[in-house]
Amino acid sequence: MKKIAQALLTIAGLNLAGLHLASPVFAEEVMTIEITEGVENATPIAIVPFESPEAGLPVNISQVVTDDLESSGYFKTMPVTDMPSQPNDFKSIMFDDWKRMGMDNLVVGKASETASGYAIEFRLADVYKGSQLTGLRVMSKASSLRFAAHQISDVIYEKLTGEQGVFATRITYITVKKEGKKKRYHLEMADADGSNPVVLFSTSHPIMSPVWAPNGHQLAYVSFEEGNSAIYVQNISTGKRQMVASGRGINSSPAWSPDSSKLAMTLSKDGNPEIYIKNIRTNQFTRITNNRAIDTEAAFSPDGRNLVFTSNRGGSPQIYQTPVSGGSAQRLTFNMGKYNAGASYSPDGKMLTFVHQSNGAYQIAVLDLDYQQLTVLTDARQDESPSFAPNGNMIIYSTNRGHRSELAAVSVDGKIHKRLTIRGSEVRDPDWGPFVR
Amino acid sequence: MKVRFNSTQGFILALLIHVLVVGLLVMSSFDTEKSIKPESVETEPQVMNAIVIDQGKIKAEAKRLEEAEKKKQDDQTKRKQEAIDTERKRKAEEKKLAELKQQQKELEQKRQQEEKAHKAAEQERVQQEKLHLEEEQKKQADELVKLEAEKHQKEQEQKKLKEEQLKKEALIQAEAEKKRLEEEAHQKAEADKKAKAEADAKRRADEDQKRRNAEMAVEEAARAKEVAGGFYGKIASQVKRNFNIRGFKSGLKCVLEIRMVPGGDVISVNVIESSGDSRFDRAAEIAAQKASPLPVPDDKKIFDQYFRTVRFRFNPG
Repeated sequence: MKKIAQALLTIAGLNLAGLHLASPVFAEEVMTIEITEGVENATPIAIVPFESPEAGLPVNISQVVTDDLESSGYFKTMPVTDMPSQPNDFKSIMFDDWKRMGMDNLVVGKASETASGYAIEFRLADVYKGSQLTGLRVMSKASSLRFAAHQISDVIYEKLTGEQGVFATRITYITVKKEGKKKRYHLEMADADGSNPVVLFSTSHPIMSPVWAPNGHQLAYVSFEEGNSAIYVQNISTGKRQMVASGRGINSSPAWSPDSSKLAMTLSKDGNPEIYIKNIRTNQFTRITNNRAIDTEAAFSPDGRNLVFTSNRGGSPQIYQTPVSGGSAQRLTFNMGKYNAGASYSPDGKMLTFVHQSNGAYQIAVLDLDYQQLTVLTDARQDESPSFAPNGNMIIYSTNRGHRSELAAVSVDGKIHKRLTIRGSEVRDPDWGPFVR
Repeated sequence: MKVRFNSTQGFILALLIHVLVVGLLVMSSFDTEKSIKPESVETEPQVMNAIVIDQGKIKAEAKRLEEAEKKKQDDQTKRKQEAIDTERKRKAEEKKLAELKQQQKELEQKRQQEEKAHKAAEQERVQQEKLHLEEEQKKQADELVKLEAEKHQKEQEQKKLKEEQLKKEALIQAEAEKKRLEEEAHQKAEADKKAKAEADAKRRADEDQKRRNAEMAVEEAARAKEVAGGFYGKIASQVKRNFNIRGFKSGLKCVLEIRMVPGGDVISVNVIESSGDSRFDRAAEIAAQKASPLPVPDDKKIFDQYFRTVRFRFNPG
């Protein structure tokens, strides 16, 4: 009998060792039940519409927060119509009502006008404990209300996921807009959700490969405005531009070092496209690769010691890694198909994301460097330019749909996919900016 | 009796003879009284007779005499007159009376002789009778003595018999008593034996019961554990379903202690071993809260023992 019971307990995944002790005394025994599994569900959260000033708000803050959290894939937000009540402050919350609805988390808040704009105050409540998890008062100008909402989203996200949120980060990308018969190329920056796009540079010549300096203040990109390709660094806030590479032949694929002092790039000034590092302050170049094959699309490791790049030295484009200090390059992509290109490191340096070709389709993949585990995250035909979000959870990329190209994002576990709505016939070469300090 | 009857018969006979003789004498005196003056000496036989005759008659006679006396006094004068007349008559009559007296005296003598003879005979007879009676009495006495002796003997015998009987009875009684005592002792022994057997049986039954109770308690405990184990499995799956581990690193674990009320409602959740990640701890807490009410047995005893307080070790690996 005991064996059967034990077997049942074993099946149930329990370790009730204490049950062996056959004590006929009916004293209370505190047994420990093992919970060895869980589910991976979106976290329930309800963001109650914020109380607004009578004149209203130019931005529906609670809606922005709701959209942010919902789009992350980590949350299941409650439709306003399902809410049992709409409290705006902590003391008005009837926790039992929310508990009954299986709601774990609740956000209440209000916005009020100030001399310079608005004050937004919110609280995140733990429904089961009836306590406040966090709360914040954010001051905002009317023009940056949306960004303030993203900041609120980040605070909530970080509190509940343990990861820093990226809602208040920005992205940069290139749009191509047709003006009559001509095309106009724009270097743009927008909120991470694609909203609030700002044009930073515009030209009738192609521009490509913008990358955000880790310090958050500069962008590097390639522009053909001079006819030939050249690499520029542009200060975001001042708009001041600096050409850093315009040698003979190819000047492409800039990549910032973690300290924002150096740029890795592909230059063919010496004949064959090779990887160089240029110290922006000293204007000194260091050649990293020297191979008859094409070496291109370099990226720094987060510790700054290594570079990954694409090379066809093995016969087909594959990902290699080489020390910045010099040394031989190692191939990282073995037995992963005929085409792997355009790699960059995850913020923690444990993963790479790149374009992987399988069955004739170019898709976004991640490679776990420790486990040599390749995971393909997308399923379109022509996906390009993957870039990690600064928290490492999402990857933004461009995808070709018909004749148009647009931006999309995918979570590193492949579970969350979202599309960014950005105006333009062609939106490509996205790069996710760093955390805003 | 017969003897007494004979003696009485004789006595009655003698009495009858006396009455007859006296009667004859009275008859003759009555005749003379009418003719002669009664004399006190002469009345003696009358008095004697009066003894014999009826007392009523005597009284009547006396009355009559009184009346006659009265009459005589009344006639006294008359008679004084007449006395002279009669003196002569009286002298003649005196002569005649003397003659009569003589006659009577002779008769009396004869009668006395006869009576003497009769008395002697009677005396003899009485003597004889007396002797006979004495003999009879003696005989009777002897008989009585004999009877007494016999009776005594008989009594003795009876007494003896009775004594023997008593002795016998005593013996029997003693025997019976002994037997009774033995029987009692036997019965007591039997009863004791029975009581002991019963006590033993009861003790054994009690021991059996005790052992059975103990066994039952053990079985009960085992059953309770089995039941508890089954419910722990159900609780575990219910908690797992509510344990959202999305986004957590592997290797985190925490231990919660929850308290429930009958029906499985979770009334308190406490982290007794933190994972170090407050979010993981909270996910576990939420799992326990959300899983409430947890499946628990209706049996209050089992609930009290195994379910009032339960710990969860969250270790999703």
